[in-house]
Amino acid sequence: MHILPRGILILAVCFGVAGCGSTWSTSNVQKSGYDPKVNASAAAPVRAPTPVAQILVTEGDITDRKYRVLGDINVNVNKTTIFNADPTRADVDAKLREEAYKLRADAVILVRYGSVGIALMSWGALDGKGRAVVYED
Amino acid sequence: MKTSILILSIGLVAVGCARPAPSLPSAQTIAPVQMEEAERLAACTAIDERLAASQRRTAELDAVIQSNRRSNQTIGYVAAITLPPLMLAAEENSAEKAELDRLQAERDQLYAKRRSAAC
Repeated sequence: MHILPRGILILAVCFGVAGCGSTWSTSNVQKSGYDPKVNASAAAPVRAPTPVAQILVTEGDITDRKYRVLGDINVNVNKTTIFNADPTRADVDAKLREEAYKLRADAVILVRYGSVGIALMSWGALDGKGRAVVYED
Repeated sequence: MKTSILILSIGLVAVGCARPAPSLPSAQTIAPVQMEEAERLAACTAIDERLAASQRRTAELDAVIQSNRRSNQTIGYVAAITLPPLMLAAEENSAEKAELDRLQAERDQLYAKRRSAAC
């Protein structure tokens, strides 16, 4: 009689853990007000957005090309359960690329990372920020 | 019971916390500084050397924080289940985290200089 409820409980927990992705994330974007689609002109016509995989994510700046700032992106990646691996900088980069794509950005520059640790809603959280830019030439 | 939950909450907030990423610098336009080519090359080399040193130090500090991560998590799990005051045994690495923030601010200044020197 006692074994059945405990078994169901363990099973439910296992299903709960197995059903979760290894990470979940949040993001916040502060747009600069410039939109490549809206601000298109004859000199700078609308072009297809850079594919997500080709968006440059760098801790440095770009000095060999002119660019325009689209906005500042702040992302937070969290591990789903205590059993999952800690989020990595690659996870943060992927999330930054995802948000940059939504802004039609070509690159995310000046990227900085926090340190993995316990957060209010997660046993392992990693924070990242970057500036989304679009090339002018 | 309520006391345990309170101690646990304080412990979670006080130890082993994630360090947030430092704020981005302001998006001001940096005007290029006019300088001779040789002077510009020397300035760029000096900036790049300082950037490399800053990144090396950052990697060292990250490794120190990361080396405590497993023990901090173990302490956190055990404390959450059995003994909340155990949270106080976790390593916060406050000094390392403060230095990481300082190094990021230094790199932001170096990137601005790099841009003004058109490196």
